[in-house]
Amino acid sequence: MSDTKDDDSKKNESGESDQSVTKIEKRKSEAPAEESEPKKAASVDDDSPTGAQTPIAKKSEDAPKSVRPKEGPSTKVVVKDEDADPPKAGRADSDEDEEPKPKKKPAAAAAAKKKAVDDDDDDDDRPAVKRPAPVPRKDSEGESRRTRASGESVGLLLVAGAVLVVGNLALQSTSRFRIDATREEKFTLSKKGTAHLLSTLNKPLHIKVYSPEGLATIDAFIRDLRDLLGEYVRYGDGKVSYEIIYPDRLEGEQKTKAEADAQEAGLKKQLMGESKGGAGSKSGTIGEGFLGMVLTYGGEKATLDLNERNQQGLEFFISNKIRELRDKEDKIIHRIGYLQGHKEKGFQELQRIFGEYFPYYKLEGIDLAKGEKDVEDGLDGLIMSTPDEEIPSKELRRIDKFLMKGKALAVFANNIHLKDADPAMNVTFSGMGVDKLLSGYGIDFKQELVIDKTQFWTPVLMGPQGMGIQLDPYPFMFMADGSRSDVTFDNKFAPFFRLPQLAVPFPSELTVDKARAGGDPVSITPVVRTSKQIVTVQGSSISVHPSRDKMGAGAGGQKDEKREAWLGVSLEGPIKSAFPGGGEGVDGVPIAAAGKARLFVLSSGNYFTNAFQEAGKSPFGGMMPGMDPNMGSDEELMRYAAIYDRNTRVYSFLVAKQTCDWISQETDLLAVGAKLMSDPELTYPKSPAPTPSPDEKPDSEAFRKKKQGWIDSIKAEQRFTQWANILIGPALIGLIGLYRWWNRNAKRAAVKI
Amino acid sequence: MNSTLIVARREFRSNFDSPIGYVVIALSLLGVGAFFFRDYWTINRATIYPLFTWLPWAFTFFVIPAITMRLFSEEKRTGTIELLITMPVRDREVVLGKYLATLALVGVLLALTLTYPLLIGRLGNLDPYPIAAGYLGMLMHASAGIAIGLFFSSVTENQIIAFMLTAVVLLGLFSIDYLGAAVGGTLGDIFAFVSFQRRLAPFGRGLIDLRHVVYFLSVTVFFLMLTTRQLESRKWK
Repeated sequence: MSDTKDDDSKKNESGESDQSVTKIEKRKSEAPAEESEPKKAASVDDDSPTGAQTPIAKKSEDAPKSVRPKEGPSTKVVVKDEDADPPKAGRADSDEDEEPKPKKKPAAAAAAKKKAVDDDDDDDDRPAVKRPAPVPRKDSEGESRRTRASGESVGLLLVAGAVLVVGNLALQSTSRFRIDATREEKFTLSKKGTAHLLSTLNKPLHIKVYSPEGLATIDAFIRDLRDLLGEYVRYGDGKVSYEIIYPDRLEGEQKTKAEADAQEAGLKKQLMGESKGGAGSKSGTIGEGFLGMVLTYGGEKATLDLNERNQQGLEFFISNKIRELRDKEDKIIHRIGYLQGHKEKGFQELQRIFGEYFPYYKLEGIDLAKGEKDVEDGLDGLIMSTPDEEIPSKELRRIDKFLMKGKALAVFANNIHLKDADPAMNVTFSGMGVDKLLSGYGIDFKQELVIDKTQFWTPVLMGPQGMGIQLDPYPFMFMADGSRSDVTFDNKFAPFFRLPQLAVPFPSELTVDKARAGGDPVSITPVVRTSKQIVTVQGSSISVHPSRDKMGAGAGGQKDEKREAWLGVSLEGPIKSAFPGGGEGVDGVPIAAAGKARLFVLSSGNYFTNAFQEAGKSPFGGMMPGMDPNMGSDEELMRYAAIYDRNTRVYSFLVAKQTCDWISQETDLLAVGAKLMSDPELTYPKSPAPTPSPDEKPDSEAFRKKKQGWIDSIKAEQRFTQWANILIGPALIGLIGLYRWWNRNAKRAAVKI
Repeated sequence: MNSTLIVARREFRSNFDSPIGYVVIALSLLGVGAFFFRDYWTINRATIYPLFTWLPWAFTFFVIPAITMRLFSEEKRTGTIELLITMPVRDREVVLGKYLATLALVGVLLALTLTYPLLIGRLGNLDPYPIAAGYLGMLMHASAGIAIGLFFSSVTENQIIAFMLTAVVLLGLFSIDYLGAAVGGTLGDIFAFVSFQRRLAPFGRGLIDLRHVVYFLSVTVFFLMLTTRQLESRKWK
């Protein structure tokens, strides 16, 4: 150690340090006088971030006092910094690494002192620095410090990097925390639906997913699916597990077995392809394999084809399968009654659809044998649709008794009666007993048809190449848009849950008398309402035929009214009995329902049937073998029937299914159903679609002009939106630039020298 | 923190002292707008999801490389870095200040795209929350991208090289998901894990996943640390 110091001393005496000092001094002397000014200014700049001294000035404070000049010009700094190392660009933090400099040996100190004295002499007459200058830092020490600092820095970085990587990996497999910001929580496993369903499982549920490999879109889909199934596992409370099997990865016997298992479970091997680089590309990849899942719950198995790669709908399909499995295995059956015996329509078709798509609901026809039989207690609820024959009073009392037990009753009927196979489509006002029952609960139907001037059905006949031909609008079908559910129908109400649209054929207005319904304890909610532009049509027999020359025939009058009309209502609570005490041999009927009875009424004639088909069918078509079943049928009615069947009735069936959910209180899965929905369509509320006035034909020149005007208005809105969006931003930023440029020029011009 | 904010404020202002800030914002808005409306009216849905599809590409290819390339490169080339580092601010304050200023510039760009939800909201029933989530995702993505750009700017004096390095790395990180999908298996999972696109897509749909937030923050923190160390490295060079 001492040798080194000696060497250094020698260097100082003869050499290196002094040279470095000389160099610095030389640089200083060569530099123009003003060059040092900015640095000096920086050192005392009040505008500097901390308003502190320059690092150099700071260094002079930090330096050993023995070498610190008492006062004087900056040139003296050179003396202090005569270390052999080049002067560092010092800053607040860099100083932290500095160590106190070792004391110089006397010879070196003398040399430094001499130098300092010389310097002082050059500048002024003040006494020279008395204390010895510090010994220059040793190269090897500095080098080792630098190496150490570098190593520490790299080490710190590596540790930080490793922590971040490990943290992310750990989070990847453990964290399921996420916020679904969509209005309807479209992308989240429904807590009310799926999560609740999973909580009802009392046996292990295992899901096997079979997938091919090598197709990018399928691989990406499987990754999403894995995320989704992870959510099932999380909510399954240890009862749910899953595995993803790639038969392509397996070999020999294992592969054969996996494929045989998939096949045995009901999956089919299929060809799958995708274009490379998206649509329009001429190259692509084709693969073959199984893509589906097999769900096992207890002894029950079900398969789900995953070809529908719409992740938005996946939860709905998976959860419904799980529910189906659970209900089968746990023998859970929801029995829903459908009143029969009075030529109610639509039952057979509904029963077939339920059997096929919703097997967990057993829709049973209930014939009360003119009131001789009670409605079974084992039923979760009862559905009534428009009857074609009067319901006997005793049967009404039986139904009332059933409701008073705290059960659910759904009525899809009103007082509008459409005769079967009547091509004139004349309606009369007769509730066939339904009105009498509902009147007991405070619900009354008005003796008139109601038309909403803003919401009615406009059938579009699809022609060749997707061309739509608009038929005459049909005002007797209320058609509500789900996007306007705040003013039309409540699509948060279980039977209408998130339906995009609702069609109510032949509606009449209903009113509710709160007192008769049961007073305050009963909650009364209008679930379907018209807009405030309605027309009411009165008469004893009114034609609702869609052709212009027949429509409205027989009407005694019509009234334009600026008010809304209720077309659907829900009552919940201790509803008062329609027949308190029973009567006609029906006993044990309380004054009000025990517990929470539920009643839902949708005022519609022929809700579950296709009235156009019923009215237009030929009375003799298809009677003999080989005879065309449509022979002699009303062509116009059949055209309307076809459009109604294709576009509208599906929502009626969904309402039926969701009504069963409402009845059985299995409303959990409704939330899951919403995941089928995509973003809503653009509606252009400022450019409402034109509707022909009552005396205007849709193909008239005047209406065509209206439609063209509407299309032009939409196009104009689109153009405005597009160009405003593209140009406003750049224009705004350009204006800001111009303003700043102008402002700067103005300031420059205002400068006076 | 005060020093950081002062550096950030000065750096942010300097973006608007030269045409580069204006040009980058204007060009990217024009480009994104053109792509946004390519199929928008055909799809006819009340959503601004395409904005969150196209903006990341603009960020990756152009915006982030362009606004980060000069942050340190220019200072190094002109020598003003020495002036900056002789000021009594710590390296990390300089790095953080520049990072915040650039993030604020991206914020200005994003703010100018608010016309999309405002104007399209007039035509249909827009769901505002996924839009907010989408913007959050864009900020997260930009944050990570800027940190990367800042690092590359600190390693070279040449702005073009800094631009290219940033663009290539961001493009790689953004589109590696496609490669992951093509490769499949464990490697595919790894690619999916690091992919910016895969992490960003859920934000645009309205999903804020903690894992993705942490990932973007991790990338940001790591590259900011790397940049700080890169600046500090002059001590031992």
